[in-house]
Amino acid sequence: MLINFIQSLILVVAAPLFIGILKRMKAIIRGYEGAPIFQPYYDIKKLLSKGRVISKSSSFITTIGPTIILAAAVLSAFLVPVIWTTSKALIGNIFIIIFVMTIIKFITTLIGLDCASTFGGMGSSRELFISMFAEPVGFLMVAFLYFETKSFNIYDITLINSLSKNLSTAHIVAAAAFLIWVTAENARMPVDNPETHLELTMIHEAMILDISGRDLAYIELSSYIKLIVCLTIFANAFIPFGIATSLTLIALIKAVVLYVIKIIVILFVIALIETTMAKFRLFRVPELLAVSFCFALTAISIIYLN
Amino acid sequence: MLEILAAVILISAIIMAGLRRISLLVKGFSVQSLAIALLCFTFGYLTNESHYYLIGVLTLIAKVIMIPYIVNRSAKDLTINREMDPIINGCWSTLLIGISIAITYVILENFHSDFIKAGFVLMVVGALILVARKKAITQMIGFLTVENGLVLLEISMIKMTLIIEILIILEVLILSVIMAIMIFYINKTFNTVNTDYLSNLKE
Repeated sequence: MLINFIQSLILVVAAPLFIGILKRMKAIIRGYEGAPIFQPYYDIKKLLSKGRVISKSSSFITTIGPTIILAAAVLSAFLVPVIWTTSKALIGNIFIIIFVMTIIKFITTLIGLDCASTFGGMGSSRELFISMFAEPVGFLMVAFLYFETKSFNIYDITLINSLSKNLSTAHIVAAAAFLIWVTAENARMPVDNPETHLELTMIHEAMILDISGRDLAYIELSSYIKLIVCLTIFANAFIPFGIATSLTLIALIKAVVLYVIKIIVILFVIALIETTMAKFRLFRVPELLAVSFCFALTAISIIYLN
Repeated sequence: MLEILAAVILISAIIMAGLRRISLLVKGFSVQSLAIALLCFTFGYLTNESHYYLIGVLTLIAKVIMIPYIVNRSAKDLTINREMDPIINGCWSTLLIGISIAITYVILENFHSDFIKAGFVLMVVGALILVARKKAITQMIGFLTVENGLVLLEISMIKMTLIIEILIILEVLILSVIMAIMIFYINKTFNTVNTDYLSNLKE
C-alpha cells in the first residue's frame, strides 16, 4: 500500500512541472523563448505569500470554497494508478473519481455566483451549460470501459488492458471521444481559452475573477492537478502498455519513463491544438460535444454487438 | 494497421456529418478515400493477390487527387461557400447519424468482419448527408460518400472481377465531372446553387 501513496504523491508534486512543460512548448511553437519550466512553482509560492481581499457582500462559500476545491483535487489524485497497478485494489472506482471531479466544478460554480458580480454569474452559467453536454459523454466512457473489461475499478481496467495484445477499432474511436471530453472538462481549447484576459470570452476564469492571494494559489494548483489526473486516466485506460504490475526496480523504472513520455506526447498534441485553432463560439460547443457523443455511441455499438 | 484504418474511416464519416463548409467537406472526403486506398494496399499485401493493388492505385488517383480538384474548382465561383440553413442542422444531424450507426450495427449483428459494417455505415452516413442538405454541392459530396461505402463493402466481401471495379471508379469520376458542369450552369442561371429555387422553372 505504500507504493500507492508514493505514486500519487509524485503526481501531486509533479503536476505544475508538466504544466510548465506545456507552456514552454506553446511558447516555442509560437516562436519566442518563454518562461522556464519551473515557473508555475514560483507563481504558486508568490501567491501563497500575498494577502487576501474578500468582498463584504460574499458569504462563507468564498471563505471555505477554495480549500474544498484543493482537497477534492488532491483526493482524486490519490485514487488513480500512475505507474503501478494491481488486480485487487481497495480504491479506484471510476464513478467515485468522476463525482469527486464534479465536486470541484460545483463549488467553483457557487464561488462564481457568490461574489454578486455580473461576470461571475455569466461564467457559472456558461460552465454549467457546457457540462450539461459533457456529462453524458463521461458516463458513456465508463460504460465502454465496462463492456471492454467487465470491471468498474480503474486499477483492474488498467491491468486487463495492458495484458491484451490486440487493438480493436472501438478502442481508437473511444480514445478520440475521451480526448474531446478532456478538453471540455478542463477548460482547454477549443472550448475555452485558458490565457484570455477579456472577460466576455472567459468561461472558467470568470468564476474566479474575485479571488486573490492564498485562495488563488489553491485553485490554480487544483486545476493543474485535475488536468494531469484526467490525462493519467487516459494514458492508463487506453494506452497502458508498459505499466508495472510487480514491485521490481526494472519494471518501475520502465513504467516511470514510459509514463513521462506518454504524458509529454499528449501535452504536445494539446499545445498544437491550442496554438493553431481558435476558440469556438459558445453555441457551437454543443456541436463539438455532439461529435464526441457520437464517437462514444459508435464505440459502444461496435464492442457490444460483436 | 487494419484497425487504425477502419477507425479513421469511421471518424472521418462522423465528422463530415456535422460540417457546413464545402472546403472542409472535401478534405474529409479525401482523408476517407486515402484510408480506403491504404486499406486496399494492406489487403493486397496480406493476401498476395495483385488485383487489390490496382484498385488501390485507381482509388488513389481518382478520389484523392482528381475529384477534390474538380469539386474545388467548381466551388471557387460560388459566393457563399457554406451551407447556410440545412434541413437538419447542427447537433441534431450528428445525433441522428449516431443513432443510425447504432441501428446499423444492430441489424448487421451476424457479420463478423469490421469492414462490411464500416461500408454500410458509410452508405447510411452518405445518404443522410445527401437528404438533409439544400445545396447541390453538398448533396454531391453525400453521393460520393455513398459510392465510397459501396467500394469498401465489396472489396472486403468477395473477390470481384476486375472489370466491375474499374467500371465503378470510372462511373464515379464521370458523374462528378457531369455534376460539376451542372452546378456551373445552375449557378449561372439562378446565381445560387440552393435547390429550393429549382422549382422556379415550373411556371
